[in-house]
Amino acid sequence: MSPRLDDPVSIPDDEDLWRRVYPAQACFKQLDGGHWRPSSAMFLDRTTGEVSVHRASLTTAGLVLARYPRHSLAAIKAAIPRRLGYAVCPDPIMNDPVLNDDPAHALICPPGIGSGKIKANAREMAQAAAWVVLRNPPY
Amino acid sequence: MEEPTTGSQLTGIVTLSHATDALISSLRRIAELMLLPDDWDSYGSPRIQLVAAQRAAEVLSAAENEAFLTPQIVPVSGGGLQIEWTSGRRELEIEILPHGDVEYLIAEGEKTYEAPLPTRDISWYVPELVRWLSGARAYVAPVR
Repeated sequence: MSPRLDDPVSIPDDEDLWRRVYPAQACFKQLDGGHWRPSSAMFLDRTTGEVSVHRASLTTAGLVLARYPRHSLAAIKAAIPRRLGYAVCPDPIMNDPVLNDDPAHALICPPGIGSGKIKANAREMAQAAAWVVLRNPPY
Repeated sequence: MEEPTTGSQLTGIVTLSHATDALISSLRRIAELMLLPDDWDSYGSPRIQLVAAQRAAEVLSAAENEAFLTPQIVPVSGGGLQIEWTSGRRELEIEILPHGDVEYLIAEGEKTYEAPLPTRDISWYVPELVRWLSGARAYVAPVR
């Protein structure tokens, strides 16, 4: 598969990218008095390497979570993965035989095999993430 | 696709007669995560793979030989698992990929280092990593 191209025109750096977070991916951080943070695993996908997100300017939290009453929602600015060398590109889902239509769907795509810092980059993105909706953490 | 595993499939990998409560709790957590269905993440991930769960049990068993801190164990999209420990400013993440390979990341403040961990080295290197995490080591020796 050829690498996807970054699209800063369609998705500017200050766009919020939302990612649903399964309850088991919200970790309790005991530093600073304790708070919930998303695990770096939230920004890892070992199937394709590409991380699905939703463009906040084209959807609502209610829509993104409509079919997922237990998931939380976290946001990062598009500038964060770009600073790490990732491409951020629109990937609208329309008329897919399996997936529901999602014109806000986008992808965060790693620089390529051998970039060598996939885990550190995922950790940095997770640390930069802010909760939009935090539901029922598991611990 | 593999069938969901059970706790007994994990406890066969480690000796439980002298297991700490932290290890038993962690193995239970893995068994719970093995019950996640396909698409648990809502982005099409397959369920946690049996070989990943078994490898995670090996990692936890190796870590138990050091003062074992209860980790957080999270699923990773694609069918793997990640084991996370935090101690002060130090963090250790050991990720088990869906097919059983292992990668780790250590972090102290903003400084990070990550590398593959050959599975043949789990029994001696995971304790090294945990000793570093606990402060008993100032640095981590490279994998042989």
